[in-house]
Amino acid sequence: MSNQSESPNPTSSSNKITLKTSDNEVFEVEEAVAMKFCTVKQYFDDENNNNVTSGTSTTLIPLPNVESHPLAILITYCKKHLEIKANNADNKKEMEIDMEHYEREFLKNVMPQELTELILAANYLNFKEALDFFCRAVASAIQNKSVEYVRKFFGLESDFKPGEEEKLREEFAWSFEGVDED
Amino acid sequence: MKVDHFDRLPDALLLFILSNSLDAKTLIRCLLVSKRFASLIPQIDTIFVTLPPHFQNKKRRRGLSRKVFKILARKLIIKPMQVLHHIMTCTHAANSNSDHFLYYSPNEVLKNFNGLKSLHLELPSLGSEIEFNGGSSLLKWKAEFGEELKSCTILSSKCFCRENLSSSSYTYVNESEEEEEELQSFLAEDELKSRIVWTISCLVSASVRHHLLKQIVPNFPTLQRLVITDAGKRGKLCMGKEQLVELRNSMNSPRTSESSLERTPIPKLCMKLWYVPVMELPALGYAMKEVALVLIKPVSGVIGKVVRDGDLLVADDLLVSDDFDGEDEEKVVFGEAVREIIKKKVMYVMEMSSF
Repeated sequence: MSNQSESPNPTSSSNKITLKTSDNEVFEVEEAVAMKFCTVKQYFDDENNNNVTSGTSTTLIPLPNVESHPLAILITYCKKHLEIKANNADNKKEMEIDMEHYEREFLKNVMPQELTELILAANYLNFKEALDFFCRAVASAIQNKSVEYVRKFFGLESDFKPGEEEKLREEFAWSFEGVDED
Repeated sequence: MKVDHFDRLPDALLLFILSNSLDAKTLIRCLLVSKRFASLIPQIDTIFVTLPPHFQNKKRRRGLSRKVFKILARKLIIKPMQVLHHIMTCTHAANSNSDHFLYYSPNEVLKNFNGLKSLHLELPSLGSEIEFNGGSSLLKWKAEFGEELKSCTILSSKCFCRENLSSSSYTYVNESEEEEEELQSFLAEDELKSRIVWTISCLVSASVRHHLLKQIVPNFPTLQRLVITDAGKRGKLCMGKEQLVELRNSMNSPRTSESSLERTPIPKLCMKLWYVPVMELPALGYAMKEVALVLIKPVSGVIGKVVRDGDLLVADDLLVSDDFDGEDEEKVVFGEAVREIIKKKVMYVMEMSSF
């Protein structure tokens, strides 16, 4: 099965880079997008150094630690990121506003479990902006929330022995005052 | 098949997520999420703490009183101010129930974070330091301390508002009309007096905070940066690495005599005051009236510097810290206001004795 990501603007008829995920899906992305993934960039540069003659982009880069689902989301995010950056090249403030707006909308369509998945993928790909953004998103999602909410968010069960949790609750009673609604 | 992504999340990454702007309260609560959280959270070295209020109507547990730190608004804030009461025209009477503000001790809140490097402590807004006429006035201060006060910058304005361009009655102030401007820049005596009162109030607040942090610093030997702000975003006290070292050394030396004041004494000061009746910052969409900037240094520090370099006092002005606490948008405005005002001539140079 092949997953072709269509080119949004025909002006950049630049090189395409092919990425292959752990679940054997193949993504063809613009070089500009792929180069934001530092891991891919590193691989790409190494390949080019080893093989000076290959100017063509026939390289297939395997991503054994990334599944297709988070990669597709990351590519979308990355494209939008580049687009916003290009549109506001001379106005940093405008860029930040646009980016913030996009990120807010973006989060509406992402489930908590997906965020962890995205963080792992962004971390492996070494896509710094996305990693920062997702980590911030998780932090703000659990800000001042109950213990139960945080567990649910990360899909965890308590692994404390009976009584241990109560003891901690007693010790840190102050931190349970004024918790936000889940 | 459902993959457990959380288990794949490396510790470093989980730590990175948790240290992302989470406050101490959420972090402490997260200790209970699982054993993994409990083992990672104490490693976080940058913490933001909003000092949590303690509600008195909760049933008292044995030993709890030991943990509770009392900020007696009356004792710490109001009392020193009462000395000034007769010259204060705008002080509200202290809230009758201000004695009931109880807060957990910062040391109690932070006891799990032994490797703390950077701490930002936000104090509750007591709302009784000084109230101003109307909500449009502005008072911001930033102080740097070592063993004692190193510097303090205070920006104040009687009217700070989003500029209403159509109805601005002050547009006639023109840069070219130097003479007129010179006349208007005259600062009436009672106005000057009130700015001095504000200044003293800021210095008292700052020195109370410094007294508070002296109880925190010994418990965190790794601390390299400490900032104390308040919920009202009025004042900001900062200490860097060297200043913390200086404070620790002074606290270790035996000559430190316990002051009866519940604040750090303020040394003899030298201050400069700039004043502008109207400042418009059209690019930012703000206007300020009766703007004053006060720059304060201990006399000893100033003299020491002047001996070494006669021009340093001038250079100092250019290094005025405009890093006040506030909303992001406001901060830009404050920065611009400070840059504008120090272009003018210093209006007053004063000395203030130690208090």
